[in-house]
Amino acid sequence: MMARMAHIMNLTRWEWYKLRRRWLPWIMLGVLLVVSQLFVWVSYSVNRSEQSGDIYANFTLPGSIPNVLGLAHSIGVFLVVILTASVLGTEYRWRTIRSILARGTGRWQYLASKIVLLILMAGGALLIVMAVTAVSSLIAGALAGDAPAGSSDSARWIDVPIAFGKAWFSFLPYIALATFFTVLTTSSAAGMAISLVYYYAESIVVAICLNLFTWFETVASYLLGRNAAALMRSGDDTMVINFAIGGGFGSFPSALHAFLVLTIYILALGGLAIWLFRQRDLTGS
Amino acid sequence: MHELVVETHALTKRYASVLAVDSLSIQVPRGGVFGLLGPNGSGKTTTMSMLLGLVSPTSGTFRLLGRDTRSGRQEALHHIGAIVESPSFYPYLSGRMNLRYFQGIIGRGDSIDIERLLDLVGLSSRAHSKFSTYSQGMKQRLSIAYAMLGDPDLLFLDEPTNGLDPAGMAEVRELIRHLSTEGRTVLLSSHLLHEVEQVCDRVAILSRGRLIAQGAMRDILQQRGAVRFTTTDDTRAAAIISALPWVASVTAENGYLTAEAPPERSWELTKALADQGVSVKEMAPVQVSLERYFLEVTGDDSPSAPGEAS
Repeated sequence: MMARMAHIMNLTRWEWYKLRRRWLPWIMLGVLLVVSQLFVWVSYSVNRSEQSGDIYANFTLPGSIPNVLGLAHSIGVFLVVILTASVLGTEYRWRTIRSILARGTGRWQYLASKIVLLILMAGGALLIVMAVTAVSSLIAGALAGDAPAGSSDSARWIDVPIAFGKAWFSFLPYIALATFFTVLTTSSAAGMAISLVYYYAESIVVAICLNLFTWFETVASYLLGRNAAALMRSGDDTMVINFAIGGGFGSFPSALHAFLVLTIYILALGGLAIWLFRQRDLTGS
Repeated sequence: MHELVVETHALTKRYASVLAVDSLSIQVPRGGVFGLLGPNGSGKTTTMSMLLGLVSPTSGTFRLLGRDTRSGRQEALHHIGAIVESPSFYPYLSGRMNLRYFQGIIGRGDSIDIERLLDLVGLSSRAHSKFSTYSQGMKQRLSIAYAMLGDPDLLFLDEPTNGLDPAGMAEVRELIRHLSTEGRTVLLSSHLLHEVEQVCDRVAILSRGRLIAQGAMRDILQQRGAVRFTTTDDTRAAAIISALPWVASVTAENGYLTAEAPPERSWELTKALADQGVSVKEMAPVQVSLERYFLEVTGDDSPSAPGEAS
């Protein structure tokens, strides 16, 4: 077992060797940073014209970080689906997958190493966003001076790691979703398209059906996006803004329910992807 | 009995209604170059893909480097280098980085090995360039370097001269011969008859997924040898020789008669003619070419002529 884990970690290391030399992950990180910093500095600008405790909490520590993580999550899902589909699909397109497996690399170990790398990269990107947000929040806070009179001090430092954990965990089912569809279709474009269509279609269908049928709330409480949104919203005294798609309609499942449902999605989609990857013939790809 | 590095037994692959490989049983002994010869679509690449674990056989079994592939395929593959179909590398990485990556996942060797291999295939001066900028010939050379990573015991080379110019083809053939002299076994798949004839010690001929013949190249060609001769009366000689049961055919061309018969039985030809009062003026054995042999055993399949790339 330890030897297998060591093998997967070695493969993960070499996946990183390749991936860090591509533009795609760096462009995505840049997008995340730009959007997160826009949030901080737009909040700062708004605060200059119309001072409010809530707005002040958006660009000062510690409240800025959970809010930025909420925003990073909603954009990050989109980016993580693209990255996952690209990382897997290009191996089929460039036919490198045959070169890798022909040298004795185990199939499930190889796919697992890709998934591990994507999970680590998602976490790493969130940490970088947090660090940059912390620095810009300190600067913005210093420029803005003291909090407006009467503003509540509801933001807590303990919410920062919790928000990080939620945002990171909520990426995992989308990594599994994009992995499954990319392996199923053996194509970046198809894997990306199906996963993103699902992501957006679910939120639209949920919004419409919840307005039409009360019983649909039970169905919705087992859907991927709904539970990701529920997890991001849960217990958030400091998460003033919920950016997650699928939010805003009906009552959301509890955090525990969302965690369990998302875990099932991760295991089911990840397991199916690995099973399919092991079964498939690699012909002409 | 030679030690076998590849041994297949009734290996079969069916895609829906298409039988790509039909009950293939080949034995590849250790050392030398073994050719898998057949026209495009004869099942060569599918066979290699099955041996490398890229494609699951529909039925049949095989052993690699003496290991049962149901339990020891991964272990065996660690000692096998392979090129399957076209060169497949990461276009945004340089040749050197590509080799470094593959070496990393194989888990054997160091940067000195990479420089040695780049030098061996003549890519040292362009090792820093991105793979996407390489010519077809350079890509093919990088594939050979990739196959050599980890110093494998067995090399699977699927059409390794595809896309190379004549000089490049000759260099690669020389390289393949060289690799086999270092104690390795090379399993070479090709649809180029003259390539197989020049490089291989043993050959298996495939047609429409079926094994047509296999064995040492010399034995295979000798089975279909011929004798060319002239006599004092060629018309009578043709009739006399045609009547011999072990002569497949007699043809007259350019003033010579050619009898398809084992060259070692030429003395019997001479005797049969002499018994009928026909004297032989000139006689010489003719080595049948692999191309001719191939055409005979595969019927209407169309092999590639010398120099023709796929």
